Amino acid sequence: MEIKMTVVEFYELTQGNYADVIGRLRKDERILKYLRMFLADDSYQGLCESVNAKEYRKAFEYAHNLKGVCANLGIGALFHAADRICEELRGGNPGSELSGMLEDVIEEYEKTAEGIKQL
Amino acid sequence: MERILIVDDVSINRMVLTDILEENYEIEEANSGKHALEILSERYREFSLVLLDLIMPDISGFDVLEYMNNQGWLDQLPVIVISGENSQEAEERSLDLRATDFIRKPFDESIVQRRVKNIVDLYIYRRSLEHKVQEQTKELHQQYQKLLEQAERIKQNNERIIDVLGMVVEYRHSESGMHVQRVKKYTELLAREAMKDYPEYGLTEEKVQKIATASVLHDLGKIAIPDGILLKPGKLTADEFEYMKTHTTKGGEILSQIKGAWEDDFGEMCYQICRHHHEKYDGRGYPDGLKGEDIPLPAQIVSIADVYDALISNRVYKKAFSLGKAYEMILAGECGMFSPRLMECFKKVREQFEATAREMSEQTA
Repeated sequence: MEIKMTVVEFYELTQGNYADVIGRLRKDERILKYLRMFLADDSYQGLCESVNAKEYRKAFEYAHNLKGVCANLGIGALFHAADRICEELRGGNPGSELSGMLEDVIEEYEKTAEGIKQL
Repeated sequence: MERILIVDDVSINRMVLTDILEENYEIEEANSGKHALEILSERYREFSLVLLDLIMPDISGFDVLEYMNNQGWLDQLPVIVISGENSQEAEERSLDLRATDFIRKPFDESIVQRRVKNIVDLYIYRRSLEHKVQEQTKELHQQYQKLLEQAERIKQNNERIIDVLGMVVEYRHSESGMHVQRVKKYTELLAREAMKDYPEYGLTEEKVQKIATASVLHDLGKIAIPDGILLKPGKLTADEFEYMKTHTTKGGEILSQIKGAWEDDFGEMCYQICRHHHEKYDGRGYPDGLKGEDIPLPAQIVSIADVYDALISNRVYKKAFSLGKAYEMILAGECGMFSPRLMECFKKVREQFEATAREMSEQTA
């Protein structure tokens, strides 16, 4: 039997702030709608691909988009990971910490995606 | 319903904003800077607000703002930048590029709604004010045009009345009315020459026209001279001549009654011409024996024009002189002394005077 997760539990899992999100977006249904759309957004995919292809300008734009969406949806852990890599990519000349930062993003994204699927 | 354009390359972001605003506004979406500029180029006037993301591939939000600013659209169409960019620099740059406001992510639904409403309402109000100002400016311009037309009509009426007044005097001694019209023309020619040759006179084309218009009244005082003297065939007695001379002062008196009806300088000019058009440069004229430049310039000019026309016309007491003879008599001082400078002008306009004399002779009257 499938175990469904609540929105509150989802925000606990992803270190977000449910109170803040519901305060800003008002309704659980809307939060749910956006979270489901989040899985279809290509920012994460694009970030991974362009970092691997060393296209840092594009990578910066994807990271920035990912960070913005996470900020609005209050997905805390992934927001912080995206924010860090975004700043590293700004200016197009990232240092050696880039690959570690990308791994953090991947880890948090997978956790987030898994959580959304259980909603 | 006011229309808002949402520009963002991330569809969730557009969706969030649309959900917040679609109840009160008509929403259109653009998924790139390029798409936004395509829409705006065609019909930016249809929108009341643009919500703009900054970081987009190819054409960024900054590029969109810069383009809009260069096109002059930002005067009518406000832009709110919505960005996850938390640096002060991005906000400053947006405002430098004339964005109206800057909202950071994550944003609060009701704050977005209120800021959007404030700005849209403000621009609606501003547009209505601009429209009102335009309407009023148009109206003012029309009224100004009307005033100009009225001023022109008054000027023309004035001139017509003055012409009629001059002719009334002339009809009394059975002349045709052409004398005053010729004197008017000579006066104009001479005054214009003086304007060109002697800037120290301070003449302008407008003053030249005024002097010419006023010249028509030079013999106005003759209206107060009894027929017995005015119409007497043959030479006047000394007493009669003395009485005849009072047409200058009588003309001045009549004019001082109506002077106030005209602009100050024009009324004054008419008065000077009436009273002083028989003064001579050496002080031997009448009624005041004024000398040299004490004689008002308009009177000096009309005096030459009047004498010239008298010489070339038949009068009850004399035959007309030829044009050449009249020219020589005036230069030789046979009709009294005139200003040497005006004599120089007179020489220069000789041909124009003679052409006028032929054109406006009694036969064609």
